[in-house]
Amino acid sequence: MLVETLANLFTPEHLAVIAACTLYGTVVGAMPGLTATMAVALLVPFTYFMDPLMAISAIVATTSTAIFAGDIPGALMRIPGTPASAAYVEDAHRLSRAGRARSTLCVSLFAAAIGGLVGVAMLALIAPQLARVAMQFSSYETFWLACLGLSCAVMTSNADVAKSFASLFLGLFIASIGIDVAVGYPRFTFGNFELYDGISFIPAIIGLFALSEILRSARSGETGTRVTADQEPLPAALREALATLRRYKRNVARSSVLGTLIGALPGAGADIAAWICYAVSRRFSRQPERYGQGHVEGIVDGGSANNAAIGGAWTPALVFGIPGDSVTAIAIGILLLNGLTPGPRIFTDSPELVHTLYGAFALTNLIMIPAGLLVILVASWLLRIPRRVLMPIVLLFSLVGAYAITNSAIAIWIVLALGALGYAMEANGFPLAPAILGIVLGGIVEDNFMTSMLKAQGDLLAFFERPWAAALGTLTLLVWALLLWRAARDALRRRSPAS
Amino acid sequence: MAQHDRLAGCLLILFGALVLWRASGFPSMAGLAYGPGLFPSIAAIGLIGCGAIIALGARRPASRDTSRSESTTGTSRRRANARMASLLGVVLGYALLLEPLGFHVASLLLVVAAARIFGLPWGRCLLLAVPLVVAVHALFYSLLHVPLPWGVLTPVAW
Repeated sequence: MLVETLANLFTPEHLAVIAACTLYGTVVGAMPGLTATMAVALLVPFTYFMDPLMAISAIVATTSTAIFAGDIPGALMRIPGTPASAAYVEDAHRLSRAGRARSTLCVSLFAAAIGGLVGVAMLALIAPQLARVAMQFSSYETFWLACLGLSCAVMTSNADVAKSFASLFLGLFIASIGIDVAVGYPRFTFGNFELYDGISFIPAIIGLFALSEILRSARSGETGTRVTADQEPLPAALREALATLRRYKRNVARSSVLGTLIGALPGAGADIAAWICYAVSRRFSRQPERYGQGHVEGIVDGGSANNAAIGGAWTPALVFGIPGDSVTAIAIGILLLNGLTPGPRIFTDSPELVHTLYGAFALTNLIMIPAGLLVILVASWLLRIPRRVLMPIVLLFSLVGAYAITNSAIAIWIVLALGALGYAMEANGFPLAPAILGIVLGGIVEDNFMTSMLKAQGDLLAFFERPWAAALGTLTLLVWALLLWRAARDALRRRSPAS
Repeated sequence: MAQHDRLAGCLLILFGALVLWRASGFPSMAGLAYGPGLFPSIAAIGLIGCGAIIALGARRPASRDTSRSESTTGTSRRRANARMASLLGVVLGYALLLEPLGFHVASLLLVVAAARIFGLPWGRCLLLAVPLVVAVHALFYSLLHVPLPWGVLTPVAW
């Protein structure tokens, strides 16, 4: 098995794809305004033409490096390249203004690589154990799990509960467009045959994550922030970074483990992991007053946590088919397009996929070090590429990429509609992650609900008869009750002018 | 950023009601009380409920004055909105023109128009657009074999 995995991993094409995606992820992640999710969304049309193993490696390589590279503009321009770098941007920028940009970024890079390796090690240890339990699940349990995954996405997003739910229901509605699973009735297609297959997943995510970002950047215009140019020589920066990591090795260990666990919660991704680990680090630090003033300790924690979370997010995705964040939601969509259904059976049916995934993760985190050093060297030059050149390029790639999937202009229409929707949602405080989870999980929820209803002859109590189903169902109902209560409380509090 | 919670809530209610109305017309499965309409209806009811909570919980307009005092003045905000609207218009035009004009002409127009909206001078727009279209052609058409439409250029297609 090991030999086979290594043989899969070390083919020239595979290595080339991983290396190319590592560089691509670093460059896109380093561009302020282009997020890691957007990097994946733009990559997806290409993965469509690869075999599934390679596609998964490409996604893993791109996300891991994009999350690290988000630290680069954070340090140099005080603009986090991806939301996951926002937690410690103040510290990174102040250090960089003090002339320590390169050593700070090297700390980020090494912390990210270690975090990523810990994340995948934990994934490899925990996921097969969970899968053994999940093997006993029937359509009842799968239905509840999908519901739970959707609800967790709402619970962990730090936006308004009602708005997160609205986003989720919009996603579920979009998922229901097209021929229905039970009797084959075309829903909401308005006679358009190209919609019978449903809203194409890839144009949908390109619209939600790429076009909406381009629109936002069109609205905000060119930012005048200058790059901090003062830089130290690389060897000195490397020495200092390694010394820093030795000093804070316990922080790296703590945040890597905690980050993986947070990432494994459905809906909580790298950004939330970074925020929580930064806060935990401050709580236990001997110098909490220096956080936010240019202290490197928080960068060690946040930097390792957000990369560890990427590995963690794959745990629920692989074991239950429930994505842990928007990127794994996209990855699940790609696996489904390739005819592979993530879930406990994937560990026995296509173990080569699982093992290649682990291998790709480990390899990426190692290749990321030289690639990251390279980008740190050219960073100040890279960040001088103005937005007015970058955005038209991204726009053309998004539209052509979407077109490549359907080979018809319907893809452009989907990108346009969902791009406008995504922009309007974000501008008004509606989070996008629940919507994308809704689009991906909508089909699974409906399939399992309909199958269960047919088996049970419409008896809703059957959803609670099996022990695991009862436990998961009760948990889901509890989460719903909690969320409902929170939404009502928020709404009431906002209405009363006293607060 | 000014948020229009009341409007958003009302739109969600309206949209949910519309979906509910359409879904009620779907046929049900033989002998069962539910069918293809069940799931869209659940989503629609959810949308109506969330819309109601959002609209009812909307902040009083009084608090909006503070959020408006950001650095953006009236004209620059209008200009920002115009930039965004024209970008949407450009994508709309691309959707309409891609197949009749063909990938190359439409993409050239798209990149030039988008770069103009972002404020790139005319000359540099072309300098950006021509190599970009060639690169995308090489990547998608030659390498990935995506059948990009040639449109008006069909006579010279290869």
